[in-house]
Amino acid sequence: MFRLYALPVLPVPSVVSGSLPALSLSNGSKDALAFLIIESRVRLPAEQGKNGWSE
Amino acid sequence: MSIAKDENIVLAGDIGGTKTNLGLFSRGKRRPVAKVIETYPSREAPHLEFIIEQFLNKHRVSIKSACFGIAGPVISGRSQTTNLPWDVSEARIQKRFKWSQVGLINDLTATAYAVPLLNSRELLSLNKAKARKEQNLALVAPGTGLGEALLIFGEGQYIPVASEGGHADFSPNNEAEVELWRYLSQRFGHVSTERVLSGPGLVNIYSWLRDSKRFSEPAWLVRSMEEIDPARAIAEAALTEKHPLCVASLNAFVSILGAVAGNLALTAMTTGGVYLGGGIPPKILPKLEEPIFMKAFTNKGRFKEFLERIPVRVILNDKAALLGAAHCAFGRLAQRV
Repeated sequence: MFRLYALPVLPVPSVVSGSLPALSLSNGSKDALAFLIIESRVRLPAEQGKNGWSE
Repeated sequence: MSIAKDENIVLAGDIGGTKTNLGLFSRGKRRPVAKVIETYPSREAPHLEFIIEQFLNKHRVSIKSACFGIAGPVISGRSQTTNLPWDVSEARIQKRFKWSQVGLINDLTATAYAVPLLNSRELLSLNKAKARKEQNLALVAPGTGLGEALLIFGEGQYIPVASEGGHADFSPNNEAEVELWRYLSQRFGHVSTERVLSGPGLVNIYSWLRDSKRFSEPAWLVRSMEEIDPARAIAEAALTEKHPLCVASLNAFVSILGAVAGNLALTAMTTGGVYLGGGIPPKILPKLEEPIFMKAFTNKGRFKEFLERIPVRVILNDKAALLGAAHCAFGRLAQRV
């Protein structure tokens, strides 16, 4: 799993999340894909304990 | 918050991947007494100093000493947190805030400092073995990760020993657990105990049982796991016996936890007791009180009777790490720690 950020050209920063090949853009366009920053070190909530239940 | 003019106040911190607790403590007769405690979301801050500044802007007091328990290894007063992009430095905090004493310790070490200070209302006994004073203690804490620590008694005092034992190899105990190890090995390569005994670890156990086709996965459970923390969804469905897949997942979790706690008890001869901390044990108390945990804890062949004489307690005080950090801060002030 990974998280992608599309930052520079969109009015609102967009977040793309999922596992390949099933990608979904929450807000953005094809142009945004050129500006994607891959942040593979970010863990998704499911891995971390969303809501802090286990902490 | 009322603080006398000449009162010694320390700042204590418990820094986790999700939240950071900061508290001001006075000395107290038997143990530090909390004057104020604030909780901050860790991820919204660029670094720890940012949170400390927020706290001090709200609570303007003169601080003599500070100690922070942090989730991650601490080496020479510095830690790169496991689940946050923070580089925390004892020296940098001391320079920034100009306190006479600053301590950075592992969060489980902080909790270990608190164990001898806890009272009976803050502990739940899982067996009838009596606590023996001045003996080694062990701490096992499944939460976001798996923390372990030891309190070694020697020369009239307890010495906390930090550990990253949660990252040691997962050791299967039966054929089913060998199967679990194989499943996780294909996914992660190295299978640490934390891959099984943590919030995400419970989800891993669940995934293994689901993918092994032993149980079907109902649609309502999938939805529940999407809506809330999946580990929470599994644990709650197990405790209410809503689905056998969740019951089997939590049973396996508790059995492996018992075995790991027993291993640590043998490793450090912790005849003073084994304490279960972290976020998960207080949330699964009914399951821990079933025979599964103690059966696995004592299942050590010729050392079964030895294990039966070791008291096992669950820590119910969710601010134990903060209390321990405050105790450490006062100790450093007196130059005893």
